[in-house]
Amino acid sequence: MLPSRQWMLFGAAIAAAAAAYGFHRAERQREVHELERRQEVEALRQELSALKTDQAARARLAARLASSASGNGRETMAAVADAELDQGADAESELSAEPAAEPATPEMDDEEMKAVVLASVHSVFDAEARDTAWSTGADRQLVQVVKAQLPKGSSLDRAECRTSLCKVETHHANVAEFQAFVNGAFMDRKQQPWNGGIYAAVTEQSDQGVVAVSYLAKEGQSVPLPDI
Amino acid sequence: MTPTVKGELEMVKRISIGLLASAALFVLALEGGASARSVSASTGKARYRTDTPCFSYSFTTGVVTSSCTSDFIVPLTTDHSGTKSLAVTGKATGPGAAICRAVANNRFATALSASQFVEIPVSTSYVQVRTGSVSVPSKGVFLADCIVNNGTRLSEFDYPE
Repeated sequence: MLPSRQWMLFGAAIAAAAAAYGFHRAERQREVHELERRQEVEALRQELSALKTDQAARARLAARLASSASGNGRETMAAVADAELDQGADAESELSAEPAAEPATPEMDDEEMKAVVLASVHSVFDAEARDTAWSTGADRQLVQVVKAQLPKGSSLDRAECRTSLCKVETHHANVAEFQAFVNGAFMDRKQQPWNGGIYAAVTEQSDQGVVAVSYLAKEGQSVPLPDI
Repeated sequence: MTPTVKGELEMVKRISIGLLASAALFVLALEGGASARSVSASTGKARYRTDTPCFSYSFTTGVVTSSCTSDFIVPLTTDHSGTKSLAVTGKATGPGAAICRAVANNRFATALSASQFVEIPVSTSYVQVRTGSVSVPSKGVFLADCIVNNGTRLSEFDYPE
């Protein structure tokens, strides 16, 4: 065999080995990434489960979700770890209504996702102080719109604006009424109080009706959703 | 050149081609991590049936052009649930002529998530704007909602899978 051909074969063998190594490494990285993602989801599930009974775990989850939200560019308070979800009957009721989590499934089901989002947004809202320069006028505007859009059989339990978020708690006769309310008050460009992001969810559903909570972000801003 | 040498040359050539093909596949495998989806505006429709004649579709470019002030929605599909934002590519004819938002809801319509409207700036060429994030469940709806004026062109919508 000619020396040049030997070199070509040698080069080809090295290239093949390099390609195989690279492929193996990429596969390994992908596996590690997937494993980390599964572990993260599993940890979140366990904390959610613990949240039902354990007050300390509730605070830990709030802190974690708040830090997740701050990763999206939103400010959160350092004291969130101590924050009690005293106004978070919404999140709690969702959790109690959920079936047990399946540990092996990495993707959250929709009810879990709703509970996580509500807990996260609530923790951000809870940590916010009241910005009197904005919130007083916003409260007034919000209540005006909400009352105008509430269907018969629905009622406004509470509406409050803080620094960048407003929270509206409502009661409706059924889910259809909740949907009509959200469409009229927050989704209709002409009726909505201002152009901000919205997250609105049913938190309790029974024969007595539907309890819902809606978060509306300040003009031009998004609701601080967790990075999930 | 002897037949043996010829055979060896042929073998080297085949190995080289094989290696090149492997390298190309390897590059594709590495690129596989980036998962984004692009949906043409032409897959959308007028939100209100009476506004259907307002929109003309180009099936060659995928661009939708509006001839009146109307609401246009584009249904979007995803492989995974999560917090997602939407990049909208379009061309607006005047200030405030085109605003878009992302909207998501679960299958029971009991967890609505919507971003604020973002405006497509006036430009002679297509520009891309990004909406705020919404919470997209695994089962439910995810869509782009744009309110556009006469002359606005919508091209495509990009988002994570």
